[in-house]
Formats: sequence, structure tokens, C-alpha cells
Amino acid sequence: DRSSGIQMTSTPRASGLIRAFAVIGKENQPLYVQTYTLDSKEDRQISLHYHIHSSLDIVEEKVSAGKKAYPNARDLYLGQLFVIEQYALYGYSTNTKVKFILLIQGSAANNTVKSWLRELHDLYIHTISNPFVELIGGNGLMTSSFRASVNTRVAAFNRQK
Amino acid sequence: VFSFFAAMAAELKEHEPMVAKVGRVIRRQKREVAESAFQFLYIEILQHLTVYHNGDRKIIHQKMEDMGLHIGSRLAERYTGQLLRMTEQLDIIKFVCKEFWIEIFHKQADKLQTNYLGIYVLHDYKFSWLTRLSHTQAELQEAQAVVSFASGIIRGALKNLGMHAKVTCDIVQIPRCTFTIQDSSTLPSGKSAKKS
Repeated sequence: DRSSGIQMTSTPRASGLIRAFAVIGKENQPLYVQTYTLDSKEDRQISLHYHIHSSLDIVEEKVSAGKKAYPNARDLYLGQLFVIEQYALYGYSTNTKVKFILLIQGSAANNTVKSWLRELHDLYIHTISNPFVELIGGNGLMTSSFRASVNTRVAAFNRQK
Repeated sequence: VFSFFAAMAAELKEHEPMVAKVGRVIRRQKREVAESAFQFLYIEILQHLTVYHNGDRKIIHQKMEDMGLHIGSRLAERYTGQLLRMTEQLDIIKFVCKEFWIEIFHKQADKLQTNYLGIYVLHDYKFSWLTRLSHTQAELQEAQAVVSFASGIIRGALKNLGMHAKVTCDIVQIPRCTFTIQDSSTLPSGKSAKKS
């Protein structure tokens, strides 16, 4: 029996909570990074950023593994990348080498994460189709509307039982 | 400024199917815009550039190609969203010939040739943007500007998919045209490891 809306209890959940999400560009530059932590301690945020950064090497490995390396090698969804402390990182790499990295505390079903990243991919496509969004020059993805859409989806994910 | 117009024209032209999965599947209606709206806007862009640059063909072609670069990038992002990962260069070219061509020109490219060394030749026997031009020889010059935009789109798409290439287009006879894609890494230059 969980109290609604408050995610800070330590009762075991079937689905984890999203603690960080990042969109990484072709040259491995960060296009959008957002952490969702309970406390705003800077070192926790930095360590989350660091985990995301180190996961990029694993993404690189998985992407260049070749067609027959493992089942679903050609899927855009890369599955769980690695686990560290109480976090698990999941990756998704598009054909244009844009990567989505998701950091979850706790466990999460592969299919749930996969469909969530798929939705984010569609959101990304929708956002950059706007000719006034300049990924290289101006703000790029750090716009309030993109942030709001991402936050909505993160909240939806976190609400799952 | 005109790159925005052109980008918006490309945007207008694309329909947006949005499928949101929230327990059940909700499908929003496809929004479509008449192809003719795009054609008219396109002709007007060409007209304007011609007047603005006093008919200097080189600049016009360059500008059209640059516009195409940005648009092609975005279109590639959009149309590869649903596909599996493309691992080889040939996958990318096949994507251009099939899905990409269908989305933009409403038909597949008619023939693809390659020398397997980085040069690909795409033939289109009835290029949709040329069908409305008159078939005289004099028009060939003007038609070159039309296809340089298309070359730019292809080049932008390839670039975003990881393939740097040079794209040129020859118009054999309206409405037939041939796009030649040359992978930059195989160009004979000081940088390349291969010596011809």
C-alpha cells in the first residue's frame, strides 16, 4: 500500500525510478542532460553525469559489434548497458548516431524501458523537425517545451507500479 | 532567411502521424498539405533567388544545395526513426533509394548502380520535380537549379547518417535524371590511403 504521489519511500517497487536522462549527439556531445534527484547535492548530480558519460563507451561497443554479435543487434534499443551502485543504465542509439541514455534506480522491465525510449525518440524527431531549433548554434534541445515534455514522460514512467 | 522558408516548406509537405502509446493506442489524424503548395513555393523561391542574384547560376545552385543540406539532415532523422540500425554503407544507399525517395518524391528510385568502391549512381526516369517543366533543351539550364536542391537534400541526409559524400546530378533529358553519389573517403586525394 503505497502513498500516492510521494516516491520517497523505500518499499520495493517492481519498476525503478528515473534518476537521469540524457540525449547525446553524434560527436558524443551532450545535447540534453537532466537529473531527477531527491536531494540537490551537487556531487550526486555530478556522479550521475559521470555514469552517463562512462556508459557511452559501452554504447560504442554495442553499436560497432556487427550484425550477428548478439540477438537483436540491429535494434535501435541497446538494452541494459551496465549496473553501478543502485543504478542501472539503458541505452538507445538512432541511425543518425544520436543516443539516449536512461539512468534508473532500482529495476525496470526491459520492455517498459524500450517503449519509453521509443517515445522519447519520437519526441526528439518531432522537436528537431522544427527548423527554428538549432542543435549546433543556439539553445538546441534545452528549451522549456522539450524539458516539459520530457518531465511529463519521466513522471509517467515513475508512476508505474 | 530562405533556408527557413524552405525548411518550413519541407515541414508543411510532410504529414505527421503521431502514435502515443498510453495503455491503448491513440492515433491522431494525419495532417497533410497539398503537394502543389510545395511546388508553388519552390518555384517562387527559385524565382526570387534568380532575381536577387541577377541570374548568377553558380550562386543559386550553391544556395539551393545548402538549403537542401539542412533539410536533408532533418528528413533523414525523421524517416530513419522506425527502421533498424543501418550497419553498412549499402544499407544507407538502399534506404535513400527506397524509403527516402518514396517519402519525398512519391516513388522509388528506378535504378541503382555501384562500383562497390564508394561510387553509386541513382537513376530516376521520371523525377517528380522535373515533370512539370517543358522538355526543351533551353530548359535544361533552369532545371539544373531544381535538381541541385534535391542533391543537397540527399547529401544532407547521407551526412546525418554518417556518410560524407559528394552528390551531383545530371539531367539527361527532362524528366530523366541521374544522381551520382561519391563517398568522400574514396576520393583520390592526398588524404586517401588508396593510390589510383
